[in-house]
Amino acid sequence: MNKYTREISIEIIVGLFMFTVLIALGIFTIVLSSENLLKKSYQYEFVFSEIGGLREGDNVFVRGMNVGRVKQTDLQDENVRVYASLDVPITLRRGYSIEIVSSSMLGGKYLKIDEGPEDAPPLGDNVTILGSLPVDVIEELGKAVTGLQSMINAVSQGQGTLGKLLKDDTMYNNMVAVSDDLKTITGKVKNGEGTLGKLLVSDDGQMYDDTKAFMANLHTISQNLADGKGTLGKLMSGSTNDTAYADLQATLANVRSITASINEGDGTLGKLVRDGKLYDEATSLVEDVRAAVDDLREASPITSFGSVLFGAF
Amino acid sequence: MKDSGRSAARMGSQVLQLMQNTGHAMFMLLEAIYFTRYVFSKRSRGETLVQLYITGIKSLAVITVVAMFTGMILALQTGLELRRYGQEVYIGSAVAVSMIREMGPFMTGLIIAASVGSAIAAQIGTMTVSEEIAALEVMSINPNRFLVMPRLVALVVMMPILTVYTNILGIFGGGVVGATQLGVSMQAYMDNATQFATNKDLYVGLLKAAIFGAVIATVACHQGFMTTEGAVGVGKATRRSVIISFLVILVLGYMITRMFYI
Repeated sequence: MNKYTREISIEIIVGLFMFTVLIALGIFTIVLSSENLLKKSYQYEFVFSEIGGLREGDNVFVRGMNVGRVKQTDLQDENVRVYASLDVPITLRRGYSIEIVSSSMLGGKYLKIDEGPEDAPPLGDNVTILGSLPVDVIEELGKAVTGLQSMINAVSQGQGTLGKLLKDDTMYNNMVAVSDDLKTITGKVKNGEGTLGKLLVSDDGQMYDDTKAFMANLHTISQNLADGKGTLGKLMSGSTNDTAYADLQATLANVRSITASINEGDGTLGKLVRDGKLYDEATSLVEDVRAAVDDLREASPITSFGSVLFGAF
Repeated sequence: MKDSGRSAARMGSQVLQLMQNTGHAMFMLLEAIYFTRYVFSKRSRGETLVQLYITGIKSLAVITVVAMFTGMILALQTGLELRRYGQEVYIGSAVAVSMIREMGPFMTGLIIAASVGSAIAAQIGTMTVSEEIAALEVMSINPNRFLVMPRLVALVVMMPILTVYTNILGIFGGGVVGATQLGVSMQAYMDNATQFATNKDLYVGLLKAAIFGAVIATVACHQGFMTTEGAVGVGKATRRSVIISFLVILVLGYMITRMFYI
């Protein structure tokens, strides 16, 4: 191989290398989508009942950080599987949520991953990770506007409290009347009229003294109760030496004994309460009496006729 | 059977020729880069300055017109669409980001490839067919050092500078259209333009411009050296130089954008 041929060969090899590099660059930048070949990525699979327009290439956010992209969406029989490629590994715990969120009002979606509470147990392997139903901002906004519109209509037609407040003069008139009454009352109080006025304004001190004496009495009573003085005080203080308490205790014991006897069916009252035979006999007696009265009522016209007929004799 | 075999042989020969030309151009570029250490030498200094002047100053007029109207067209088209949403105030950011990231280096590259690149290909092509290149080699003057290196340096240095100039004029042109046609004041336009463009946009744009400069110099010089068939060959070399430069600028422009922004 002479020098010229060798040079040509080298040039061809370099040219081939250049084209190979260009083709590789082309594949990297045109065919492959958002793939970083030199960086390790972590693949996750989420299952949604609906994905609300989420597309391949949409961002994935964890705690507000963009950590990856949606790699593929796959429509299946009853759900949609979303495959995401993340730059960092995530550990999902019980109480996690996977949401599809609108990027802006103009459109666009992203996947928002909440890993769950820190103290919750982590999900096991081979667990199907379920995503939440996406929230359609426009639809929600439409509903809110519709609700607001109906509310405004109701208010403008004078319906409800707010509507009446705005449309009906009654409440206004009532409020004016209340205001007038309040004004009158405060005027009277200010002038020292009535009990409250005297209490607040009067300088003679009579009301104050009365109130003070009443409070002093109340204080004395409560003090006596606390000290266990008097019958009520002794009862409240739990003293066992007092006769009243002993009497009350004996009375309660008697009552308890009586109720126990009644409950066991002892004595007349006990039998009345517990023995069904007495009830049956009483019922039978009442039925007999009722039959006798009926017989008497039926015999009454015949007796009367007999009396009239044979009365002359 | 014979014809198909002949066609396959011809195609293979053309592919090999393409590979060889590419390899030759790469060797020429590498040698020119190696010789850049002599750029301030007494022999090369004068030629480099001349090439800087030709590339930078002589292209200013056409670049001024193209840059202004590029910015104006961008502003008008974007503004008309944005007006439908009442958002025409955002044309500043649209024009600034488009110009700095893509349109500035791209338009400058096309203009320089068409004006300076074609001139280089024609000049070196003429020297080749008139055997001046052979004469240089006889005199032990390396054509890559004497002809390619000054042109490479001039284009790589001037392309980013001209791109900055294109960007400024394009953004200004957009501002004029915004103020006169879309009712966006120049102050609001400039505020919006500076708010959204980042340093990264500028650096990537300048990197693109420098790479485009190297591409134009390499393609033009290589086509010049490959010229045959006299005056007709010079014409062909010039045409090929412009076409190849355009194609490579487009492809590389996309790849650089893709690598930096996704």
